[in-house]
Order: sequence, then C-alpha cells, then structure tokens
Amino acid sequence: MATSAADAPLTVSTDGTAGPYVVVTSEQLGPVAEALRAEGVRFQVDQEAVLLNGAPALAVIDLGMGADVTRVQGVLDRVATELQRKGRRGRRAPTRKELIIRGDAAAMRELRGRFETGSHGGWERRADVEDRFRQTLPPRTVAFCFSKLVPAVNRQVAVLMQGRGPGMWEELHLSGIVPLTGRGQLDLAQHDQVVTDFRETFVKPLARDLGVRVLDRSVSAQPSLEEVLSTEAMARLRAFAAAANKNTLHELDLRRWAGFIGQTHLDDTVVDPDLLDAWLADEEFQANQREALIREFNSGRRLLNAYDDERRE
Amino acid sequence: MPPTATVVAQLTADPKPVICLDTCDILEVIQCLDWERPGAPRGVTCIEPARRLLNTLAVDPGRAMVIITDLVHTEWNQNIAGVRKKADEFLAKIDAIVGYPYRAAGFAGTVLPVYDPLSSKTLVDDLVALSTALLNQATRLDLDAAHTALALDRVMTKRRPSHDGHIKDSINFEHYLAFARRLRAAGFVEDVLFVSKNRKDYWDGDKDRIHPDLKPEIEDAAVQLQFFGSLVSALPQVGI
Repeated sequence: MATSAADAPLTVSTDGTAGPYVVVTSEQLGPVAEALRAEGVRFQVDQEAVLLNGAPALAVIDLGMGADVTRVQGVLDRVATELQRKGRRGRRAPTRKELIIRGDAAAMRELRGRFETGSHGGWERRADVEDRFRQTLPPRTVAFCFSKLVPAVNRQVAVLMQGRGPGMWEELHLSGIVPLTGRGQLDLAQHDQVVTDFRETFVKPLARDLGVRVLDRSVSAQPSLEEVLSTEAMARLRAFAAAANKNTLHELDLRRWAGFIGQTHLDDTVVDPDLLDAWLADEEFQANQREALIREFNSGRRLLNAYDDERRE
Repeated sequence: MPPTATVVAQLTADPKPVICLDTCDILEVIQCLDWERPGAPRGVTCIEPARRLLNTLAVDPGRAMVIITDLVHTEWNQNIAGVRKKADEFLAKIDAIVGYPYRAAGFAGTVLPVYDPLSSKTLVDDLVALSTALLNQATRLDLDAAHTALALDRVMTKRRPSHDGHIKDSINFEHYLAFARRLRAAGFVEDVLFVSKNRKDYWDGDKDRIHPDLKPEIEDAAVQLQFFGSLVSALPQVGI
C-alpha cells in the first residue's frame, strides 16, 4: 500500500513544541533539501525513518525554532509544483490517514503515562481490549485501546495504538480502527474522520508541552499495479501503452498486449481487472478500448491456464 | 480442542460469521519474505488483512469465529521452522545485495548513508508472532475417520483438490464441507467462508473463485460454503 511518493503534500507543520518541521517521502527529500539549501534555509534531517503501515519510509526535516514558516512553505510549494509536473498524470488512488506519535524516550514515557490515566475528549481507555490486543502482538509491545462515540461518523469506535521501534517507547502508531456498533467497516472518509477526532480531541491535548510530534499522512488504500506486477510485466505494459495507437489499436499493439498477458501468466500473477482498468484509464485509453483489452486479458489468461492444465494431465 | 459438535453448538447458540483457513493463509504472512522467482520479491499485501482480522477480534471477539482443522495446526507446526529459515535467508540475501553498491561506493568515493542490516532486526520474529497469533486465534476442528476416508477417496479417484495425488487439501476440504453441513442442518444462517491461497488445487485458474469442479459441492444448499482466494478478499464479506 504505497503512498504516492513524489506528489505527497509538502507542508510545514507547526504543531507541538518541537519547532516547525516538514515530513517528506524519500523521493521528495533530495529536491526539498536542495531547494532549502539554495534558499539559505537552515535545517536538519532526522536520520531515523518514519514508517507508515505498508508505505515507503518518510523523513522529517527539522527547521528549528524561529524558522520563517511562510518563506519555507513558499519553497515547498515550488518544489511540489515541479515534482507534480515531472510526475505521472492521472487520477489519485483512494487514500486513508495513518497516525504516528514520535518523540524522545522521556517525552514518550510521559505521554504513555498520560494515556494510561484514561479518559480525555470523550475517549475511554479499554483495558479489556488492550489485554486481548497485546496477546496478538510480539512480546513486550506497548498497546493501547480507546473508544468513543465519534460524532462525525455517529458510531462507537475503538482505536488501537501500538508501540514500534527500538524499545517501542519512542513511537506509537495507529494499528487499526474497529467500529463497535454495526457490522460494516468504516469507509475511507469515516476512517479519516475518526483519525482526525482522535488526534484533535485526545492525542494533541495530552501531548501538548511534551515536544512530541503527531504525524498524520495519507497513504494509498489499495495496492498499486506496480506492486502487483513483476518488473518485466510492468515494463511490457508500459511499452505497450507508450507505443499504442489509442484511437485504433494496431496489430503490433495487440501483439505487445499479448506479450504482456503472456508475461503475467509466466509470473503467475493475479491481476485485479479494476486495477488494470484504472491504470489504462490513467494512460488515456478510452472506455471501450479498456473493456476490449481487459476482455482479451481475461480470455488470454483463461486459455493459457487451460493449456497448462492439459499439459499437466 | 473442543469436539466439532461443541463448536457447532456454540455457533448456533451465538451465531457469527465463520472463517475457515488453510495452512498457507496463516504461514503466508512470513512466506511473503521470499523471492517469487530470482530477482522478484513476493508481494506483502497479505500482512495488513491478517492484522486487521486480529485487531477486529481483539476489540470484538464476537464479530467472527476463525476455524482451522487439526491438520492445519499440525502442518503449521511442521513448517514454521523452515518458513522462518527461508525468511531469514531472504533478509540475509538482501543485506548481501546491498553490500555490492556499498563496495562500489567505497572505490568510487561516493558517500552513502549507513546501512543497518535487515537481518539484525526483529522483522521475522514479528511476522512469526503475527502468524502465531492468527493460529492461536483459531478454533480447531478435530479430524474424524469418516471424512478422512472421503479425502482418501478423492485421492484414489484423482478428484480435486487431490487431483495431483496429495491428500492434505482433501482432508481439510472434507472437514470444512462437513462442518458447514452440520451448521446449516442446525439452522445456522451466517456466512461460512473458506479461504485458501492455494491456486493449484482450489482456484479457477488465476481467478479468485472456486474451481468449477468444486463449485457444486460448496454451493449445495445444505452446505453454502463461500470460497475466497485470500483474506483480503474474504474479510469485507463479513464486514471486517
């Protein structure tokens, strides 16, 4: 579940008491650092990577007390525009918010003590759930559970937080949100509303004056096609899309498409047709062409599977 | 391990969706740390749904019941050491690969950030803990001679999922069919899911759906077992 590495938002955060900072993906770190240096902005990069669930690492750029936030934001806006220009066009995949709290050992120990005292902002500590949750985690992992009827989604929900990292004292991250009422999952918007409520009414008030950072980032809620396909299959798909006549597919285009189908079969990759359709749409293939290509993909894979079965027997 | 009749009685008294797992679904969260083939690592998308299922059941144990056969439990125990070793070897190999550009950088005078070897981290331990938690979350069904005999019959007649001659999949399949049949006979109306990423024996080619040879058996009105090829596709069916 990768976050979109190059076009993630670039914003100066001023919350907490550790001074303004910027969270960047590894792809953004180089261009942002270069632009800040060019502008004579002093900064330090927190060398320890921030890991989100299933997403590439992030880095934190510390700007230090007294930084000119407006000026730095202007630099970031320019870098973001440039990165978006260079990046691939296309629609954004659906995302959901992740939440991480980081700080030094003493600050996190104090925050944990505040968490343990229980209620704040309507959130109640759920020791019963914590016991069960802890049993599913590696030994000695720090675990918390809080529940609340969150007005924005009008449902009682439980938020699970767990420790991560050396000693597991220096970082807490959101492990999951589970609705306590009703059977259905929260949709992505509701998930984000719960994260926002938890952050604003529970975490931030308790973390005030501690010098910890409360980071939230949106990560893709679906695997990308790049994560599913092999390097060879992805290269074949890209080659097909780059060469294809998108008005009327040429015989050579169809041959390249067949090569892509064959490669996914050799790789034994399961491809979600919706994911493939979305990728082709990003590449500006029309709906009728996409439909025909995916039909051919499905029938091609079916035929190849049948061939394999026959050979086995 | 409670007798199957007790599990059926528990579920009919307190109905909740049932998720029957195959050994590969539980080991997969560790096995994803391996090569699909040389140069191509496996995907890791199986970890998040396993965590989501455990989180949901920690918060609300009544949301669903996870079921395995005693054979799944045995197979997990037989394989865990080997699976763990492969995951350790995978990380060691990645560390070795990363060593090459570092050696090149040394000769070229290029500065690279300090590399902290992956094999010194707790990643494999943590994934083993996740897999163990999933195994321990499950209620075990005991094996009975009659359904094991039916599995053997599938081997003898080369019927799926034993068309290749292996009996283990048929033992699990026969017991899950029988379990679902007993639940339905007792008036159980909740979803009963069977999850297996074993494509060769259960899937319809590369499609995440049951093979046509097995479809009539699971769709029988007296059984109503729903097949899913992965936890990620199964969990939304039961609102997780």
